[in-house]
Amino acid sequence: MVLCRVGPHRMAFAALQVVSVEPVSQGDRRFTDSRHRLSKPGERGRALHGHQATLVVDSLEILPDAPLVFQVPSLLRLSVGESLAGFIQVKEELWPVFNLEPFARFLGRSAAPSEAS
Amino acid sequence: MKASPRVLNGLIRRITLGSMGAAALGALGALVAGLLILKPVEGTSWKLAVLIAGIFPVIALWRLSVESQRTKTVRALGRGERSPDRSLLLEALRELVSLSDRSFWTNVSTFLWGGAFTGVAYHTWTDASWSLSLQIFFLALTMGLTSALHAHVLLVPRVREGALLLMDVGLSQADALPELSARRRTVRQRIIILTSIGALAPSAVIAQLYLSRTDVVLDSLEANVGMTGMAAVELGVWGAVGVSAFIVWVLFIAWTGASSIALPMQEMARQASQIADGDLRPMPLVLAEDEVWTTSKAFIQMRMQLMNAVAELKRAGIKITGATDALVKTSDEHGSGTQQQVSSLNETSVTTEELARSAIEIAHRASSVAEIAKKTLQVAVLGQTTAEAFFGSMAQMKKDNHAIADAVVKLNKRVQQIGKIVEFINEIADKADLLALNAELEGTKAGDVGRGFSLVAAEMRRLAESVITSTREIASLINDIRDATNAAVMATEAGVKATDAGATISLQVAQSLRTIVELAQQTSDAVQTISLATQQQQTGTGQLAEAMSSVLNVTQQGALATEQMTSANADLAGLAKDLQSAVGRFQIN
Repeated sequence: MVLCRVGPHRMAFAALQVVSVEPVSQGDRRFTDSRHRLSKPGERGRALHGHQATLVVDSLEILPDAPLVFQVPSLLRLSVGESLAGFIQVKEELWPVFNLEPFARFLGRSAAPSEAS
Repeated sequence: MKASPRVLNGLIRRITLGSMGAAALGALGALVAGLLILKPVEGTSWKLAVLIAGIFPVIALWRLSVESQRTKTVRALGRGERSPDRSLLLEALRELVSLSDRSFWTNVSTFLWGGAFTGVAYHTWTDASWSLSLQIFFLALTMGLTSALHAHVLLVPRVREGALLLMDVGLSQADALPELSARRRTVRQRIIILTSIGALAPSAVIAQLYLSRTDVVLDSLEANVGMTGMAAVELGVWGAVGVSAFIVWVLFIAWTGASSIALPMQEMARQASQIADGDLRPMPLVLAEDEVWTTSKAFIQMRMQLMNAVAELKRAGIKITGATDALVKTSDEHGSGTQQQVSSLNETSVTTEELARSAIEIAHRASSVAEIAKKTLQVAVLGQTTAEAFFGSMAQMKKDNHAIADAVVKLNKRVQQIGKIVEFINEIADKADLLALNAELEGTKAGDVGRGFSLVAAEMRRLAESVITSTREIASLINDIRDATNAAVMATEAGVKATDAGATISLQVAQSLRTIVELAQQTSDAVQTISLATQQQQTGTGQLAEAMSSVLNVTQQGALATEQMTSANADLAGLAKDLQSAVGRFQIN
């Protein structure tokens, strides 16, 4: 499980969904920066490359053990573009677990109108 | 107060009136005596009377006309024809004083000439005997002497009055005295002449008269024998008449002669009494013709000398009084001034002593100042040396600062190089961290198989993160070092500038201290001079104080002498007043 932080938010992704990790510097326009939706972008970041999507976070760490994923209702899953997979509890904190590519597309859709505007 | 010269008008006539009367009386007496005494030729008595009455007046008028020429100055002054100056008044005095003697001899000569002419004329006219003419001449001589004596005795007082009148007009007694001194005749001579003429001449005339009447009586007796008794009576009568006439005549001559001698003596006695009473005012001259005149002249001179002496004494008394008053006043003022001088000198002496003490204090302080100036010079020299050393140190510091600045610049470059190296390390660490992260991700994907790999990757990642953390800290330190080196560069540059300024200032300080040293040297020399001068001043002030003390002593002695002088002056003023009082009893004006 990959634990990521974007601003004040925290999120987790399944390690299998992450193909590679790449450093991102400020002003790099190659990737859709999810930090624009979630918070103010930082100076340095990490780009999580999935099979078909990339998500930029501030920092990440890898949890070696696979924790228990708490399932969520379908309605809640649909509200976020079916990207929410559930929740895990790490170090007495509750982390939402997202699917990388849907979540990246979801953030991309949400970010497109604002970027167009 | 001077009288007008008009008072001299008719003076000669008034003076000679008495003498001419005496002469006329003498001529009349000669006529009567001639008729009574002489026995003219029968029937020629009238001729004798005519001759006497004719010749004597003619000769008398001739003599008067001659004599009047000898008194023309007095007459001219009396008529106002000439102004009465000193020489004219003296000439008039000479004419007057010679008038009495000339009058005597004029009378005598008139009778002589009259007797001679009458005798000759009678002899010629009547053929009378020459013995009768000689009797006429002898009778004229006798009567002439008697008449001249009478005229002289009557004239002398008038002449004296006339001389006094001249003095009233303006002739001074001092001028008159030399003129009057030439008259020389002694009392003895005067008395002899007076007695001779006054006694012998009447005696001769009376004797001739008596003898003549005796002859007449004897002739009558021869002619008439019975008239013896009558003749005796006639002779007795003639004798009584002759004796009486003789007595009266002699008494008259004695009285007038004695008066001419006694009156001046009486006047001198009166004036002596006045002088004895202290009256020295100018008095009329007591004129006389003999030793009385000598006495009178001496008396006049004595009175004048006494008057001058008293006047001088009065003037001297006044002057002495004024002088002594002024002297007393001056002495008082001098005493007051001396007291003030003593007081002032006391104050001056005190001031001088204070000045001496001040001079000592000044000298002491001047010595201290000289010592201080000497120390100041030493300190200034030391300061100059220190300033020059400081200037050298500042130059060395400037040089060191430049070296430090160069070193800091080099250090800054090295730090920048280190920063680049650290940045390079950081990039490597970041890549290592990313690689470790991907490796850990792959290990995690591998599941249990890749667990060990993940652990190693995680450990490597932690190492990389540690390296990154360290490089960040190093970068921070490098930034701090860079800031510090920049600050050091700036501080060094400022230090160089400050050092330059300090060197300049130290140079200026050194120059100023050099100037200060020179001035301090001059100050020290000047203070040494002042110290010597103040020592000399101290010595001089001490001598001045001693001199002032001596002057004070002398002035105090002078003040004492002034008091004594003031007392003496007061005594002198008293004596001067006594002198004035004593002299004041004499009246000289």
